[in-house]
Amino acid sequence: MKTRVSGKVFVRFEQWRSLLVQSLLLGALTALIGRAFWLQAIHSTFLQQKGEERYSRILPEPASRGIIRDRNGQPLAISIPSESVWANREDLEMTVSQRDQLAALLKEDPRVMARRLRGDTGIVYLKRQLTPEIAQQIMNLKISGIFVQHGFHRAYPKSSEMAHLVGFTNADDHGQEGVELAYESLLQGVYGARRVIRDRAGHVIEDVENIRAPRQGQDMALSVDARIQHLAARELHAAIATSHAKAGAVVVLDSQTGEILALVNSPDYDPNQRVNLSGDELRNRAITDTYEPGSTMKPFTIAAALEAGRIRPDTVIPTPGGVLAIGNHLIHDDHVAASYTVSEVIEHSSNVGAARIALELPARTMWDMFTDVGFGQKPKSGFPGEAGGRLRPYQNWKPIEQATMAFGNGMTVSLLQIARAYTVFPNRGLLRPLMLVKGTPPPGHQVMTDKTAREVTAMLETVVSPEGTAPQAAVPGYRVAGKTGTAHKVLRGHYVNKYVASFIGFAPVSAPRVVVAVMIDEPAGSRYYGGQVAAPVFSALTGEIMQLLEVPPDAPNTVMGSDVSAEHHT
Amino acid sequence: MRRELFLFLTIMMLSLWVIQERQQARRLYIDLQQARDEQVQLQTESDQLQIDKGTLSASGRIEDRAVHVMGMLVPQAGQKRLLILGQNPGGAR
Repeated sequence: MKTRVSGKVFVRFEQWRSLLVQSLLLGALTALIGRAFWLQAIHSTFLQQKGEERYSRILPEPASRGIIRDRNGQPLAISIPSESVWANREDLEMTVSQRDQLAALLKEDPRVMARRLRGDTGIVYLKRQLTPEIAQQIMNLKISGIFVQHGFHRAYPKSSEMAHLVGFTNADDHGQEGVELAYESLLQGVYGARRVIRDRAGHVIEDVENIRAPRQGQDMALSVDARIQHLAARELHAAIATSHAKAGAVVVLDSQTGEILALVNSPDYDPNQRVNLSGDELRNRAITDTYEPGSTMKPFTIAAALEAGRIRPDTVIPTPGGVLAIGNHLIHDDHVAASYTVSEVIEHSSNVGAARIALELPARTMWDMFTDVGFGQKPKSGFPGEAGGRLRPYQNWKPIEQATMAFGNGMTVSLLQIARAYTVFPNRGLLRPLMLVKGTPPPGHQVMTDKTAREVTAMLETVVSPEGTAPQAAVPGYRVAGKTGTAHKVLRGHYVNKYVASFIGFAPVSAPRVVVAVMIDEPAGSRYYGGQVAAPVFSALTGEIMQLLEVPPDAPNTVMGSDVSAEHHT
Repeated sequence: MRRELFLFLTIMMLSLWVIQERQQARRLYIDLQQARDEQVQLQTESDQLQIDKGTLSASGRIEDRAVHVMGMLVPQAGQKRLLILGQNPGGAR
């Protein structure tokens, strides 16, 4: 429909067409507004969620395990970041070139690795404890199905010397043995998590929310002295090699505070290389194993009798023929004498003398003393797997049992337990709890009088004299006191000709600093007495500890012997 | 009219300021993240150095090197000499 006006052509639309266009435009606008309202007001949560999924991430906040140190700050266990590489075989896609590069980075044979990766399903760990740099290089290969997991690797700088004490963690960083297990809750860090926003480059640009704060594992300082630990390990290993023994252990305690200064077992293991570990190597013999203590129990029998007022150090105990018959049983002495004073019973380690003294006591009195110093109970040092030893209720004791318990037969103890019990003598009758962690010593309790402790100490000092059973335990320059022990081992309920040789003592007597307990399990050959096998370890170790701790000699005249020469300088 | 214009300009300026501050905050946050990463790296390095120090200064290693590299000997009981300072051979000075 065209009209011509003055030579110009106008196109005249029908009215309805105009309305149609306007309606369409209005409708489209309404639809847009409606859609905008729908998206912004009604469906906004869904959209926001979808949007956040594209730029927000939940990041783990790493928390490392606490450091374990010795009393002087030397690190004994430290965690360092490490990465684990694993493969999801379902998603795994890689070229031969990628496989070879991956194997080279993992330092593995490509064919061996390929064999491990065969199979349609399942996750397989390729390697743990990789450095972050190597892990990054692996991720740069961009192999589908290969993933890196962040974690920590535990390192033990003192290796085998501290193995039984510190223990170790597993691949998941959980304590498995020793202090690592005992203080798991303290040492273990707890990972945190936070939601963040990342930009296109992958940078975190904003914290959205802190989902869970990380908790770093707490550092801890042990009471142990790494230097004494080394000396103890060295002397123990040397003694075991010399005596061809099966095993052994040494415990060193601070005689005043009850702190564990060293605890060594042999055989041991390297916690950094735990491949093919045997149960023998893992055993913390000083804590978990019990044995018949033999004559090292005699001081406690004597102490009980002294406390009860039944004897004095100079009381004469008849030991005719070195034999005592109780029912069908005979008790023998190695050195025969008609009688001994109480002090000589200790000096010459007379079984008959100790048995006679015990039989003068009510069973309850003896049991009370043994119990008061901690026998028959776990020493509560904080170590996992502590043994409490065996001390039967006194109501069931028969005379022969009471007599043999006087010299340490018919009952069992752990080396740690008896080392702690010996602290009562240098500590004037006070027994303190054991301390594995550095700190203020908790209060102890008096288990015997100062007088009794001093009298027994004087007797124990005679043991290391030339006339005693352990002159080899003497330490040039220092007064030491202690007691030997040699006990038959029990196998399948019967005594056999295998021995546990021990020596437990303390030094210096004038102002005691340490209690040293040595146990040698099954020394081979003709030398199996505590005075022959364990006493020399005590002597060498105690002498070195005295020098290390700069303890002034309290018996300087004894250095003039043949073993050590002394020079006096002004 | 002037009042509306003033408010409009103020709003525009404040909007630009907010955008700039937001950008600045993000930049600083990235710096903070980098500093945190650096802290972790330094901590790792420190831990590694502590391990190295602990390993290298272990008494056993020093003793082993002294014996096997430097040819020294662990003195036995008969080879030791105790020096007591501040005393005459006869007793007190």
